[in-house]
Amino acid sequence: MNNDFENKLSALTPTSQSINRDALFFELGEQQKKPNRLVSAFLAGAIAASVPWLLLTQVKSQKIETSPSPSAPSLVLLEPAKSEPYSFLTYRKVFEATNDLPSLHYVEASAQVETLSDIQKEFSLYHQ
Amino acid sequence: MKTLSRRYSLGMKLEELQHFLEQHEKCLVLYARQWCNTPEDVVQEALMELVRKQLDPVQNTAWVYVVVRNKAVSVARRSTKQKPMAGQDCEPWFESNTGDAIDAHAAQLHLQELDESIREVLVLKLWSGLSFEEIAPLAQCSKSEAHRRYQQGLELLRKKMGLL
Repeated sequence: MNNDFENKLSALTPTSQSINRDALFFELGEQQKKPNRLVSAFLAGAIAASVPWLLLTQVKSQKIETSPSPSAPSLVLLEPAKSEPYSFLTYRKVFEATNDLPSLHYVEASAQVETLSDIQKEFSLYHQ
Repeated sequence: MKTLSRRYSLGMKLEELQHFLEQHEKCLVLYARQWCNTPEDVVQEALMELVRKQLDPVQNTAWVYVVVRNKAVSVARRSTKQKPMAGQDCEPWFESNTGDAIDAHAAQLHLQELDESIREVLVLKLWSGLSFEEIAPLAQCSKSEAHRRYQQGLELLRKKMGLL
C-alpha cells in the first residue's frame, strides 16, 4: 500500500524556473581550455636554480610576491595549498585584481618530469 | 620516474552535464526550496562550482546536494535571520496536472507541515531518488534513522491526506 502511495507522490513533478544552462555550458568550455596541472614546490625550486635569468614570482596561499623589476617577465608558479589545489582560475582572478604584473606566464608542467633539461624544455615552450 | 604534477580534475563532458541536469535540476531546486526562497540561484551557484572543479557529476551527485543544502541554509540565515523556511514559501513546489493521482497543492501543504528532518528525507528519496546511504550524511543521521524518518513521513502524509 505504501508503494502505491510512494509512486503517486514521486509522480509529482517539482516546479522550477530553469537555471541558466548556457552559463554552465560556457563555463564548462572555459574550464576545458585551461591547463589543469599544478607545479610542485620542488619544480619551482628547480626552475629557479636552472633558469636564473628569470625573475620568479611565487604564489603561496594567494599572497603574491611580485617581481621587483616591472620590465622583467614574471613566472607564475602554482602550488597546491594543503588539501585543495588552487585552480588557474583562482589565480587569474587574483592577478586580475592586482593588475600589476607586467608579463605573466603560466607554466604547465608535464605529467612526468625528471631532469632539469625536462624542466627547461617545458618552460621554453612558454618563453620564446 | 617521479611525477611532479597531478591532475586534480576528472574532466566533465557536456553530455554528462546535460544528462545530470535533466535528472537532477528540478529535484535540486525542490531540495533548496526547503530552506530558502531563491532556490534556482542556489542551485545555479552549486552547479557552477561543480563545473569549475571539473567534477564528474554522476560520481559527485551527493556532493552537489551537500553544496546546495549548505548554500540554501546559508542564504536563509542571511536573508531572514529566522528559522529556515519551508512553510512560508508561496511558490508552488509541484506542477499541477489534472491527471495526477495526488493533488499537488495538497501534497505541498502537508509536506510543509512536516518536521524539517522528516521532510528532507522524503524529498531526497521520493524526488531525487537518492539511496538511504546517500541520504544519511545529508540528513546528518544514520542510514537506519533515515529509513525510519522516511517511513514515518509517508505514514504522516497518508494520514494527513486521509488515505489511511
